[in-house]
Amino acid sequence: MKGKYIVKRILIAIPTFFGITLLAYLIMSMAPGSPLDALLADPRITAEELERRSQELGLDRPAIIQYFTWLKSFLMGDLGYSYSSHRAVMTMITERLGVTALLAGSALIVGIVVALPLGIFAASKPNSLRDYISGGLSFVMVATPSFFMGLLLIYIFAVNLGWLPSGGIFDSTGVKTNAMLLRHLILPCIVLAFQNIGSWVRYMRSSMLEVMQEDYIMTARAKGLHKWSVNLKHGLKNALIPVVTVVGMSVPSLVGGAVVTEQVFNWPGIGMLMVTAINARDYPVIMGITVIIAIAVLVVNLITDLVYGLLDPRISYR
Amino acid sequence: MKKKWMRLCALALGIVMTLTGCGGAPIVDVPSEDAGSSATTSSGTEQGDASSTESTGGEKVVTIAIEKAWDSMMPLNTNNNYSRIVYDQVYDRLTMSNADGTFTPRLAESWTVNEDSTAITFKLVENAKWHDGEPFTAEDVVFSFQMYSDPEVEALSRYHLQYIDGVDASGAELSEDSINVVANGDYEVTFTFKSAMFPDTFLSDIDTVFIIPKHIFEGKTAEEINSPELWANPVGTGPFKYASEISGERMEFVKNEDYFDGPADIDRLVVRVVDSASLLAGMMSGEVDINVIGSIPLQDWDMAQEQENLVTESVPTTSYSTMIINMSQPYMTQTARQAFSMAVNRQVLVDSLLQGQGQQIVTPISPISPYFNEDIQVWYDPDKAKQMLEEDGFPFDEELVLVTSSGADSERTASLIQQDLQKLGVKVRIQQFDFAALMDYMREGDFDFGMIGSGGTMDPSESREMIAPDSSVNFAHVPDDSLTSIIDEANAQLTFDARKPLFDEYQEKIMEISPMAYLYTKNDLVAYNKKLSNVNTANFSNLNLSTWTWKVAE
Repeated sequence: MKGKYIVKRILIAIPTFFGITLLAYLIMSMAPGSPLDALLADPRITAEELERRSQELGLDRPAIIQYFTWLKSFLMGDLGYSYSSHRAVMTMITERLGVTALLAGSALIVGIVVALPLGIFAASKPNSLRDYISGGLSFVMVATPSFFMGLLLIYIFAVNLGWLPSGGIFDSTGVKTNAMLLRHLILPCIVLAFQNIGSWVRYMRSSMLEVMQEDYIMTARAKGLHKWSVNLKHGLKNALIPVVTVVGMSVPSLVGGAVVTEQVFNWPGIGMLMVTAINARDYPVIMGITVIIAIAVLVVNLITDLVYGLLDPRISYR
Repeated sequence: MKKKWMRLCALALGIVMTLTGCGGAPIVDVPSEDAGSSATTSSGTEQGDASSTESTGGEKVVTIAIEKAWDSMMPLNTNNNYSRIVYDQVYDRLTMSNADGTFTPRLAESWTVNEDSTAITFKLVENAKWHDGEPFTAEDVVFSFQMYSDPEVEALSRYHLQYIDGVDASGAELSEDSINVVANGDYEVTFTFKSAMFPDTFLSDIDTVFIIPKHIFEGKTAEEINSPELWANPVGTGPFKYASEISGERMEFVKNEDYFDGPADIDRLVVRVVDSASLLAGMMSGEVDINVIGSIPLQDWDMAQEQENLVTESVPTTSYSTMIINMSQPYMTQTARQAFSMAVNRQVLVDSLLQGQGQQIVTPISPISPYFNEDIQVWYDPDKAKQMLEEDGFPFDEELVLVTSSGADSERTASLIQQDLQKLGVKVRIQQFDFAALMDYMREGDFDFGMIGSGGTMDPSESREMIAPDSSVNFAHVPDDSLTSIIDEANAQLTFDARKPLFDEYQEKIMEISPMAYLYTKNDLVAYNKKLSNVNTANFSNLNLSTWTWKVAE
């Protein structure tokens, strides 16, 4: 039953994936400003050179033809070469994927570890002081732009206290250790986790409150079970379903990067690569990142659906 | 029940672990310097002693900040100054430009121009060596220019070769190795020009042509040269040897003990990409020692000046901002264009927007240039401007479109100009684009004013591209050559004294025609750690850092 479901989902995912790439390519080439326009940053570049590039990169052909050219090489496992660095897009992405996943993954873990207990704690006694404090905190977290938060933390911890570095992923000493990397990770990780925590706490709390109204919770309490035992054993599992969806939605950032946070902390991840690529209209790189993100979203959606079943056996797969 | 729960947790943890790679393997794939050297060996060369200075004790490390990352590692295949900063550490060039219009010798010890100014002969240094130990000779210079002029080789900035005999207007050779660069013995090389020319124009044009090693690139096909592998572990003659790179974040170099001009005082040089928002913070905490391209943001400048550990310098440059006026609009007559230029309060732009860190200009030639026309006065007269527009029959009910790139300075400049024009009774709508979209829009679109910046150079004819009728960046839609003919006549003169009066005339003429309202030049705001000395920030905007002459206190 479940195997069939997975196969069905994957079969649906394939046309979705190609639809995404087609749309992305067309939107990208219809957007004002071509890769040749980006080269005009140097006004002396000659018309001959622009013409030569245009032919070589196939930019003189219609967008749809360009797309199928791209698709053909993609199907043969080739993501192409960057227009500006001339390096293989696959290499450029893989060398940054680890850095991005490290930041986004650690932020995800920190987010889950902090947000879920905080939400449960707040929901355990609605409209109490603890509920108000967690509610107020989460609003502040959601409302603080990560740009500002990043600069604030840099100012406090890097400039004033001098405890942590202000950016980059290693010191300049020439020696590169994982410990050094982790020190550089702390601030951007906090900034990135911050926003998620804010919204996840709210989700966890409201979902928990909803579940606690259910009859089976009443029954369990009536049987004389301890409050926290009911909360965690019967309440939490059911309350997690909507939270899994929300958390799942943030997982693609593991490969997509976090543009603003990466920029402020000079964290050389996919997000920064994407910004540079868009500014230069570096089509192969933009498409490469789009592909990776699209795959991540499709895979995560599938996983989230499967996790529902683990959490609630009543959910069936057909 | 319980088991399922455990399984779920394990699954979630498993996903995260795989994705973050916390399995004990190196978290981030960083090419170690040893890995770098083995890669070099595989491409047929030896690394030298790049990794022998590993020890951190007492090492003099300097971290320089650039605002954006380098792109291609092939020196003539970029239009990116961030890349050139990186090349400049590993490779050498013949000469470097200085802010005062003079040139500093580098691989060329000295140079002479023949009598009719049709050829230049460089005498090369005799003690330069490639990082792999091979001697540097005139053959390397000849080979570099031959390779760069090969049309099969990708070279975005090939136009730097355009003045040399034997290449076309784009810098491509006419036939195999037709470029007229000839070695006379091991340490002398002669470049023949297409026609007699002012040698300084040539020198400033080839000052970003980096010399590459013949023994590594000789016999390689264009395809091999165009692929990044050959360039990934660069071997140059420069003051520093390439050590390692983290793509988009940093490139590290170690001192070249055998540098012909004497070894640098810096043992390890790290070029890091630092966002302007966190640049000052990095300097205050001592992680970054100096910013070389990309100013300290204006809003941080006061704070930078208060820092005990920093030296701050505000350096006038040739880089300027200008407002293009679309001459193809029927109502943009010469009178109207002059009126709009006259209506802009440049004093306010410089004083409040730039906080005094810049100069007002009305022509593209910067006040620091030796070609600056002292008789030119900045004009500002809103009353006269209004009167001129009225007499010209300007359609005041028309809403004009001002296009600008997004970016704090251009946005604020645009809105200040909007207010200035409002005072004349002219309505202006501002539209923002990113750079590539702005180029597209100004070429195709129906706009009236366009805000754009230019790096400027010491060459007074730098502005020619933007006003040449056949140029791809003639966004003002200048219809004829009344301006470019003056520049071309000036460029045909062979001495400064003959050129100066013509460039003076050019500056008067460009005010008269007013294809743009030139606005201001912007100073470079540079800060550096007090441990550094002998740093000549004035030359930075000419891409002349001379890092090997910097002194580092312990």
